[in-house]
Amino acid sequence: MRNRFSSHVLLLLALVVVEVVGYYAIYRAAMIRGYGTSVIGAARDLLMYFPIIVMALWVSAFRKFKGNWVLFTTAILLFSVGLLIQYRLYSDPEYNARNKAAARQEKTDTLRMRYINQNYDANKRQLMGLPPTPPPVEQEAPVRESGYTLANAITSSYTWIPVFSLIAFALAFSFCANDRFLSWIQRNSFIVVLLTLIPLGVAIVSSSAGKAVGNTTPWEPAKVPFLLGFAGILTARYKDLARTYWGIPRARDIIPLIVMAAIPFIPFFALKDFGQMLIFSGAYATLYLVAVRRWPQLLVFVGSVFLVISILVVGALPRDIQAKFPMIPTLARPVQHALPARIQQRFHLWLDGFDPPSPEESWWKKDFDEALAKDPRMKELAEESEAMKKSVNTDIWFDKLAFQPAQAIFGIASGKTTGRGLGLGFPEVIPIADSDYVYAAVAEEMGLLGGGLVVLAIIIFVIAGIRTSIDARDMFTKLCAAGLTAFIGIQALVNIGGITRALPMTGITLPFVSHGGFSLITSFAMLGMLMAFSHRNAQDARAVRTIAREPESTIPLEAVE
Amino acid sequence: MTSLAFVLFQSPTPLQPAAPPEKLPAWLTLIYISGMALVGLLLLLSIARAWFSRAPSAPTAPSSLPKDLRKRLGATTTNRGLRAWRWLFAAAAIFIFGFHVYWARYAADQNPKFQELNYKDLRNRRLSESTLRGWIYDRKGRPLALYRRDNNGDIDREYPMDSALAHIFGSDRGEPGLERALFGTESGVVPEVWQIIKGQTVEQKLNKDYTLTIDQDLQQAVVDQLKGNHGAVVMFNPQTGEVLAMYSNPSYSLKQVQDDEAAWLKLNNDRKERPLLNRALNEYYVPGSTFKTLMMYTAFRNNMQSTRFTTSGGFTPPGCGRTITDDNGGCEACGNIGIDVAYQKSSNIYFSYLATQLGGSKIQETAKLVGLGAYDSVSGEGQGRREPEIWNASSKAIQNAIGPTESWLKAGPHSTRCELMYEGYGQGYASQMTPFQMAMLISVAANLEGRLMKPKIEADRAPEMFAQVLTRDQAAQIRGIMNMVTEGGTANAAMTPVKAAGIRSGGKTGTAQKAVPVIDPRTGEPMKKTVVEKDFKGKIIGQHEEIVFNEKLRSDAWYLSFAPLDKPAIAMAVLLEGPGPGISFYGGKNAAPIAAQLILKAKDLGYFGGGASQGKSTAGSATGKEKKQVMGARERTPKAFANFSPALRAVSALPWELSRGLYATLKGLRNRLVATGIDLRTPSEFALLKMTFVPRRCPGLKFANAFGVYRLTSSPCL
Repeated sequence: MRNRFSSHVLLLLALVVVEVVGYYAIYRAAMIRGYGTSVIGAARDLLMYFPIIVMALWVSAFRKFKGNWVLFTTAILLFSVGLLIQYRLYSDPEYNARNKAAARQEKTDTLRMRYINQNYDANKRQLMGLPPTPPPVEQEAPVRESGYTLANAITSSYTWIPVFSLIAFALAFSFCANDRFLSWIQRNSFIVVLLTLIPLGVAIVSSSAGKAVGNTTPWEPAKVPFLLGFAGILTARYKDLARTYWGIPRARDIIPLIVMAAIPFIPFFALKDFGQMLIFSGAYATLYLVAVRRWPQLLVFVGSVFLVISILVVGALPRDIQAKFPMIPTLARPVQHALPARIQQRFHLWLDGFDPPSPEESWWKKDFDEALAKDPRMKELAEESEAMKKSVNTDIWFDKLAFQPAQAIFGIASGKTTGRGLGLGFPEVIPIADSDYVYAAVAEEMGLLGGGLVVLAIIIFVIAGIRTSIDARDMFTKLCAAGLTAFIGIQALVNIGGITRALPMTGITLPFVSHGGFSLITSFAMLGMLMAFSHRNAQDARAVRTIAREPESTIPLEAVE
Repeated sequence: MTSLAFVLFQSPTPLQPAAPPEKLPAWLTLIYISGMALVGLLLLLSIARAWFSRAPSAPTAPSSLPKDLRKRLGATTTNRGLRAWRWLFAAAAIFIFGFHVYWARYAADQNPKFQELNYKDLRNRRLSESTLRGWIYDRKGRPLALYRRDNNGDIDREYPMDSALAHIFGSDRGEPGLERALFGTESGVVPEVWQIIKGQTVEQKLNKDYTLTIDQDLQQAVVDQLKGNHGAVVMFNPQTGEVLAMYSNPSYSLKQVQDDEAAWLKLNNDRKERPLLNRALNEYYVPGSTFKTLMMYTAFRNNMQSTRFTTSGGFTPPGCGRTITDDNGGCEACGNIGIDVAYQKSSNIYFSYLATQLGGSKIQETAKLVGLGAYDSVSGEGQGRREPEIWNASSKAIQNAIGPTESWLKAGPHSTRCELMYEGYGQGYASQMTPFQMAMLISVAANLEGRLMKPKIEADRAPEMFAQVLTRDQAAQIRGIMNMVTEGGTANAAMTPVKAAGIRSGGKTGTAQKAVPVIDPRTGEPMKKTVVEKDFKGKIIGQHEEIVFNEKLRSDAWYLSFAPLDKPAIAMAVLLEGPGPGISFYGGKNAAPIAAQLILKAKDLGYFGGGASQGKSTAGSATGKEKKQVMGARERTPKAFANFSPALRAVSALPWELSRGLYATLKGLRNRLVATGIDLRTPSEFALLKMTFVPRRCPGLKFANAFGVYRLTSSPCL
């Protein structure tokens, strides 16, 4: 399939058609469970493709885009999957209702009455206290209608965030396709980085526990300027860094760089957003390794990163695993005191997720006591005996802290290969299933096939992004493209790994698929930048071909600035 | 009037189950996934294309420059790093996807922790709430587990007999009982998309109705008799192996545990009462004198029943340093006694002697035939295991749900005299018996052919034999000896009401003492003490923890019995745990009266009335088609209605046709009223409808009244 606008527009239209099929499936499944899905919501979602295609048209016709279209279409593929799952979850009254227990009861009653009407004879019906003949089956009115009105749709964030994302996309594309902007960034990269620290500082002062304004993380868009700034700094200095003395570059060059790299970590550490920290380190490591290709530096760098990570891991390991190796408990104790409770908790969930920690563990004790204080009955049960306390501990662990990851794992396991079916599974029992845990919802309803689809799309996106980076003619573009691809790829892997217990869970979202908070806006901005770089590459390639065709040219090719 | 009755008895045929509505979303899901996959593949193709037809846009230095300069100026090394990173990423992504594959395909089977914690999966709860299980009926068609719609419109699982059947049915947490065995709702049962398309729905397995062999009235009688005591009663039909009643006290309320996790936790951790323990199936007791029954069987099988022994107060087997005496310290049956008097008076001396004469091999052989485990050594291999295979059941799940713990003793070719002398009267290495096993033990003699029938709890299973233990004549002889126990033997006084009612029965009393652990009042657990092992020099070589036992032993009471003598219809084992150390319960004094009351109750229910108690249950599911048949005219007053007031009894003596017509009219009236929304459940109406029933002579034909107490089936009257 050619890399032409027309082919990709056809693909986009195919996506829309498939999406309509998916929405209809959700509608039918909802009718089985007795609740109606919102037509307005579905229309709003499907109409979202209209600005998407308009944006594609604008990029192609107005800006004469010659780059790689695969980036765009893959992102829209992921976006569609996210849209569908979000619709599924939000039309489920149990997920978004205020009174969840009542909604759940209605659903189960509908299913049961349906079964009874089909299969019970008059005797059983009488024993149950029902009239002997079932009501006629002609009308299929749902028990609970969706309360989603046009006003809701217009004011909902789920309408405006995609629109803003597309605007961000357009802006990012326009800026990054502009050579003057790029060279300005390169010249003033240091200031750019410092400027973006300011809103982060404000966020630290004003918020708590790492999440502000509900569940959103408004400092997510700060990733992009950071990246641009860091890439600019690295571009300016990489040749100096390449000049090494006994394998290490001059202090004059390396120290400012280290300081530069370390500065962003501080706000994230203070905001306890460790997922972002992980992604940042991954992206920066990628950039450094790509820019500076000296083996000793590579080894030292990678080695030090591993050392830090292993210290953290060892320190955060649960105690019973620590006890298996000699010397480790002694080494680990100072680290454990330094580590915040949340990391220890996350590591425990990762490695020992099905075992509750002892109630005496420092990071669990506070939550345990809080939970007991809330439920006096459990409290008196726990005080009866040791064995009782253990049982109560298990219950509280699974109902409070381990609830979300445990239900996610159960969901993935119940999806098996082909999934439960859209609307026929139970992803609504997973809290925040529409942003952080969206992969678990996909895995439950579409199974291994659906999960594989998402992973495949991420891999395709990364391949296309790396191709953009490879084709770049100057270091800044190369580093930026590589950094953006690394951001998106590593974020996706860390999210999926956290859900499937390959890695400890962090609070980050799946790019493009999660529609929550600012994740979508940032992802689309990154997409816009990547496409701008891809466009520049194509323009350069044509320029190269034009120049190369002139045989008398003696202008040496400044290959890499 | 009969034609009117025909018309009104007709129940509507159930609606044909339509194609499951889940099929459409399942198909659409598949289409969606395929569509998206197609788009993804096309994108992949697009990238691959770019690979092969790569435009030379990657910057390289012109080839005219020298090699090292070109390398320094070129971007190839940087790009190599990028390419390497790309493949590393793809590998990492596939590695992480591998975890997903593990959870989706392998964890459910191979990860034990995952399986254990499955009960925490909220999906199971959603599933069990939204699918309807089949109904469970007792042998006469009365519902024991059903659904009921309450005033709020909620449909709940109801157990009319709640705690009486709690151990048999089990709850959603803890070990599975019949409810989970028959209708297990784990989320693994729900089909995935391709299975839905093939037509598999979750309802196929779960909606089948079951009829048990349990009799609701007998079970209630057992519950009433055991009130206030810890203990168990197991009652069989010895000719077929059907379980008529099985109950363990203390029990718990299924309703309470249904929604309340804290309630279950509390029950689970109550180490003193242990309400979740099924004492009938899973707890060991010392059998005491009831074990002499096994010795008697062994003697008869090996033609040693004519053994006689002369005693004046004790039996001292040579080389054991111990004298066996009867319960009174000397001899209850003195002089030269044979097996019959010894059994009647429960002579420890005689049976101790008999055991040493029989030898371990013979005892082992007979023990295995009656379902006991007989092991050569007490090394612990296989001892204390469950024996689900003893049940005659339709599925392994049912066998496992009510699987008894295997009762066992140490007997084999190497059993010494000193071990056997205790086993002869049910002490020593024969101290691990469950009430279930003891009921099976007495069923052997109660069976007319001398067989042990495999126990069964499902009414529509054909009876199966476990082993042929005795011959017909031997069984009859043994029954005669057992009858002697009630006439002038240890159960003489307790069986007075039974004898007064004209019933001849047989049985065996037993009193046994068991060491009980001391319960620490603070923790609720048995107290433990640390025992320090020292060698001969006084140096400590090790230590371990031991449970502290009370100095005074607990005295448990047994009574095994069957009735009536000539053609036994019931065989039961009654066990009462002594109330505490120091207070004694005796078999004849405490357990036998309970059995006497149960025998009388069985008589009232018609079990002894010449074969009227066999299988009146419906065969198959309750949603079957129901045709009506004409019945023969009956004019006798049914025996069951002896409980009704004289006025009602008078009405029930009406000629058959008249009463049937009356019933039909009443039922039609009621249906019409119910159809308009009025629900009639007044007690008088209930009584009125019930009285016009068919007497029990018609095993196949029962009436369905408004309350579903009886059921109309298609088999004709015999």
